[in-house]
Amino acid sequence: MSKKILFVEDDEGFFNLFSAALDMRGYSIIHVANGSEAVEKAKLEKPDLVLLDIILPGMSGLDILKELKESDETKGIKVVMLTNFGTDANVNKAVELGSDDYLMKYNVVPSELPDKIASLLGETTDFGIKMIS
Amino acid sequence: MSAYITPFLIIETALLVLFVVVFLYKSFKLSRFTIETLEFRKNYEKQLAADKEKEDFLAMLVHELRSPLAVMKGASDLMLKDAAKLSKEQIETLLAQIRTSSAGMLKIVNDILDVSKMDSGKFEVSRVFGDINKILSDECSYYAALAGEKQVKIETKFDDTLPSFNFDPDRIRQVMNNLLSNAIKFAPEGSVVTVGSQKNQNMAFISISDDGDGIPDELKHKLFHKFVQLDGRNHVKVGGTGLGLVVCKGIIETHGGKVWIEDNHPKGAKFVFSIPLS
Repeated sequence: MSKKILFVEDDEGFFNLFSAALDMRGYSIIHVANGSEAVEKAKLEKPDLVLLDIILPGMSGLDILKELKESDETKGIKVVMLTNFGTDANVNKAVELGSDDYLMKYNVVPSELPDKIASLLGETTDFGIKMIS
Repeated sequence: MSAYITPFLIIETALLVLFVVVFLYKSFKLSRFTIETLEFRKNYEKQLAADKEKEDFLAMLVHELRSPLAVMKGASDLMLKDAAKLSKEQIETLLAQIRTSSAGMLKIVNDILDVSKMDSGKFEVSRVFGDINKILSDECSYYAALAGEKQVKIETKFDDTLPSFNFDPDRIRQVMNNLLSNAIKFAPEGSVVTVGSQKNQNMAFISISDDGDGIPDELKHKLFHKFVQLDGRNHVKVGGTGLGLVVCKGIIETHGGKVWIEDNHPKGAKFVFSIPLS
């Protein structure tokens, strides 16, 4: 069964780009564009990982991260911040709140994003073939 | 005895007067210095705030240009590297995204050029004789599909007595694109956006209203100005470059008209612009 990723992203361009790369590698993507719907969706869908932007309409990614990590229902879900907002203060804040990784959208090569996700989820990849460890 | 006292008294009085004069002069100089210092500080703080607004605006502009560029680069890289693994639909989505991102960038660059021309007084409009109701009607038809995606209905209330007059049709379309797309964006699902025209004396009044949350009074006067500071305090997104409305203002004012925001009743925002029927 494919692993489920909740992708919280309001920029349609970045969503289309990264979801194509993840979909290509067999991940199932659930999209949320409004920050205020993210926590509820995470509780409902129980994804394996949340890809989380910071600047969002409705609710900021850092506030979503805080709520996810404070709730017993969602604190075990891996969270990767995927943002353009890479100030030291934000990175430190995200790490302090319990994010598992912090990636800058501009620096991520789309075809390499699934490898990072696989590694965080304890999967290994070999010549593009996904192995569940 | 009085012969001794009198010269002393005169000297003492003179000294006292001199002291009072010097004291008043020094007080006056000090108060002037204080006022000047306060004014300098006020101007300095004003300048700092203006510089900060410009800095924030430039940072936001760079972000607005960098994002579509990063998407275009990423999408083309992905297609070049993994074309065989991508489905036909995925390739179509990525190509459509490249088109959307490049169109968005082109609009921002065009807005920057227009604002720059407006600032240097070189912005011009090409007036031709035409029917503005026809332009409004075409724009409403064009945006009907986008509005339909949100179950938003566009209603029109055109004044049939509005005569044809001289205006720049392309630039008025540009104004309508900005105002209508904004209205649809902020209109709640299932609501109505109303586009109206009205003749009043020698002016045409065009209005675009929505049933959204409206615009706070403190923002109303700022929205048509450059360097409008985005509220990023809570990392919550509130808008794009804001240049679209600056361009709208410039276009309407070059036509000799005005643009402003009113409260729509019972709720929402109403953008109105006027153009002389010349």
